[in-house]
Amino acid sequence: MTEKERKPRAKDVQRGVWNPETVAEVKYKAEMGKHRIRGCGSTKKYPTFDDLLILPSQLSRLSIDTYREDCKTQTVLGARYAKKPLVVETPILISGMSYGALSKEAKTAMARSTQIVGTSINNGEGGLLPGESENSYKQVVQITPSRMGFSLRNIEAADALELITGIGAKPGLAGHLMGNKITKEIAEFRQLPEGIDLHSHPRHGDIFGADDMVLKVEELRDVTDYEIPIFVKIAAGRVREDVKIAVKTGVDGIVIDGAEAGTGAAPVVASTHLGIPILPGLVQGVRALEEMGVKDEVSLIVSGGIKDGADVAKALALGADAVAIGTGAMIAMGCVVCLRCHEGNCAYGIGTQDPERRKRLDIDAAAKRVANYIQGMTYEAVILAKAAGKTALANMEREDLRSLTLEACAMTGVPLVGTNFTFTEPFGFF
Amino acid sequence: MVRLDIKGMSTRDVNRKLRELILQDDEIVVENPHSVHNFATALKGKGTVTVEGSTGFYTGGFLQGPTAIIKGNTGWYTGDNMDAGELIVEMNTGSNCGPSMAGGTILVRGHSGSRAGWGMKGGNLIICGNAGLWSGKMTLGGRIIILGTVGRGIGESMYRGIIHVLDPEVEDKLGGNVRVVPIDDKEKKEVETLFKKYGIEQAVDGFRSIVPKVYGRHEYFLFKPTHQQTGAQS
Amino acid sequence: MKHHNLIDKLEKDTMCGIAGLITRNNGGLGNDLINMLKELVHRGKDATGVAIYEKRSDVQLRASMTSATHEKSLLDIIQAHGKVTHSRSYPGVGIYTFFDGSLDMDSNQVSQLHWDIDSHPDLCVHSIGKQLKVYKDQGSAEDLQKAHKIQVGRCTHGIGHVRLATESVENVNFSHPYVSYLYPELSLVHNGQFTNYFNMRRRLENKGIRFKTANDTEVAAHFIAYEMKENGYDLEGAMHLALDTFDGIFTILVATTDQIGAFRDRLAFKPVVVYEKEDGTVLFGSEQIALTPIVSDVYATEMEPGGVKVWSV
Repeated sequence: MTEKERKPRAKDVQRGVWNPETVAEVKYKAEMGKHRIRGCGSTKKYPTFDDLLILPSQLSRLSIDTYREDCKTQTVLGARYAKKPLVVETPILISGMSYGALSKEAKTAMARSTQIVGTSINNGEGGLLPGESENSYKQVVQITPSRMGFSLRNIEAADALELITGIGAKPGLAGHLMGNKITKEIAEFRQLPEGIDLHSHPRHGDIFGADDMVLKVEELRDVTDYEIPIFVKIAAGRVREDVKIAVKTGVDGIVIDGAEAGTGAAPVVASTHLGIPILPGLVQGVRALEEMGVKDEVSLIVSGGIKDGADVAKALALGADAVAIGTGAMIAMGCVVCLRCHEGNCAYGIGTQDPERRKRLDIDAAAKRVANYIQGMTYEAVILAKAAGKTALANMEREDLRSLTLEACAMTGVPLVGTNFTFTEPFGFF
Repeated sequence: MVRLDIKGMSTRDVNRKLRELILQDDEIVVENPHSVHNFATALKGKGTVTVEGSTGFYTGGFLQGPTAIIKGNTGWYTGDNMDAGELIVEMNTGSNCGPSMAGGTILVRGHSGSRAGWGMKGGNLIICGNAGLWSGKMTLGGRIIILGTVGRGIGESMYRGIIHVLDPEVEDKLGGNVRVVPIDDKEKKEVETLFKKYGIEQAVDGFRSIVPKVYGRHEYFLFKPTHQQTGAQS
Repeated sequence: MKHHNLIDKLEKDTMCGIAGLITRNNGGLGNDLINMLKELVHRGKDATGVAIYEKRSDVQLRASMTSATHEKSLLDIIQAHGKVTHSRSYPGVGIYTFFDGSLDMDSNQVSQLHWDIDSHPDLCVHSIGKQLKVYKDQGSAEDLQKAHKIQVGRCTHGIGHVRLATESVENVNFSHPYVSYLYPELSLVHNGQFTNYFNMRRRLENKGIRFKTANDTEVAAHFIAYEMKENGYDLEGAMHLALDTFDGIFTILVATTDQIGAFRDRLAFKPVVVYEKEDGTVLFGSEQIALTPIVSDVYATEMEPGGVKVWSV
């Protein structure tokens, strides 16, 4: 027997609990005495829309010609009470990412891309950058617990409002912006001292509970004269209860952000262990809306790891009215998901405030790339919808889907492929 | 000349009988067609079959040489996949007339429906009346002549082939990947010859031709936003 | 090349067929609708149905029962709203038993009686009203005429349907024409399949509308009936809304007591021809041949894709 066979090396033995990542985390805590904070959000593998398949038309229905017959993509959101609902040309929106986490150039580029495809962008935490609101086709303004950079002026510039309860990347926690990204400009914008590490409020100072929120939404209605839609964004967690409460507060739409969602910086333990993925979150949300009988009135937008047109088509089939992308748009512009947004040294000029690095981002080229990405995703969703026999993306139904895995079947109530089997109450007419 | 009364016969028997008769006689007159489907399927030979009435779907499908004259209407998919011969319809046809036909001539003296000449590969399709939308869709060859008005999306994504139209508003109704050009002299002669043969009194000068923009590489837009751009561009 | 595959093509590939007729007082063309459907038998022999409108003084009820034992329950339900002046019940072509009766009752109660009968799992209303009578059963038009002994006087208009069952089972209540308790004496036939049936059904159920069958055409009847009753649309307006809401393949004929409407999806996958005679008679059919019992050879034109049109009777 050789030396190697008698005493196998450490690296040739498989690892369970004590894998390299766990070992690094233990050592970090031993060194620093606190939790690690990292950008980008969770790296965990969740069950995703890829675990669902779409049933195509064949003999029992006719398909729509992929290239020569039309499929409607225009989407209307927030028509429950708003006089001027949000109308976008594709059901793919750009979600809230803050000026602070992202550079001015990145925000401007994303705003310009919405002009090209006819969709909306959300300003995120920390104020409304002129470069964004002047360039965007439709502007969603976020009302975050911190209210940094927020004033009535923001509401006046908005085409829709989004009241944040939490984000999927770190539900129940608040905004994190590290000191090296709080430059003079950002500090002025947010009314903060320069160079500090920002941990903003997790809760709204003027909304302590659902009962307050009912009145708060009424107040916002008075401010906006019922013109523009008001959405509330919740992190996917106790979805059923949260959606029911949200409906009662009188909002026009609900945004559900899954655990896969991204962020500029978050405690790793929070992004890995808090909240549920968007696939079950969406289904629970739809079931809750149907229980309350408001599915056809209240718009449902989902976000968290939306990457391609297949996700869009399946999300719409399950009952969403639109999706929002974040990390995907950044990758389109050049991001390589190095997970170091929190350090502020983004080599592509996206997640940084360093003037030298920011020069590397060509705004117009980046805008074109994000627009191309959204257009490409829309093309993909349209191809799938037409193959399922639809002349409008909104006509995708949950009965067009089947689950590929037992987990997806159990989580969604969509039957397992090749069967009519579901574990729980079927999600649809099965 | 022989008369054939097909009242009460199944399509199988009708076609079998036609095949027998055409070997013996050059002229067959069919009575009581009662909109029978699949009439004269894959009929070979040189004779003429005249139908005193209307036929149904797939009339003259896979026709291989004879002349069939229908003195009434025909249904959908008239002359599908035909290779040779003539199909003359005195009144209207249904939609999808002459789909994938490879040769021969179909003449419709009345109107046709949508998707006329779908996927045509060769031969001539002449419609004296109007044609419906998406006529001439994705043709691979052949010649379509429409004297009346055309529907929206005419010539959609043609690969090859040519469509001659008189409709003055055809530019507003063009399908994707095609353009309108004046009719050239070679085509003028061909069309004149056809009109003379079938007694169609129509001057050829007013026709214009629809041809593919680029042979083969088509442009498609799966996402067609209709918004007006707003906002600063600096 | 083998020939027999091509010849048999149509005998294998059967489809649904629709037909319609407005007589405009040109005599009792009662059996003509049935004769038109006989010409379409190649499009479907699984079931046939007609909706015939004729002016009468009493409310007429036609209902199916899964067996004759349920007639007592049906009579009990009727007693709550009125009296049966005369009736007959008889077996149909398949396993169902049919009830055909004249009722003496307040016509404002018709919708409630319709709902009450449909609430019973073994009963299903095929038609209820003073003018409308729907006969539908398994089999061909010939079978229908024989089994139901359809007697028609001076009918004003009617629509009919022959069916190839694509997805639903051989349940007589799943055949067309469909009616809706929401709007009296509306009937509807459909050639095609909807691709967003489930979403539409969910939307209507959310408004409290109850469905009796799992056939996609029922959603069309309830949708149009709902828009006419609740939102005050006329038939043409409701059909325009339907054109923009339904997805898939649909060529549809709808009839009320005083109109017939027709509409067709924008991609025009399924045929319908319309012909108006000089004397005012209007004929509808999936194919030319359906018109031949009434007019021998005519220039019947196809309806425009995405077209919506109404005719008054």
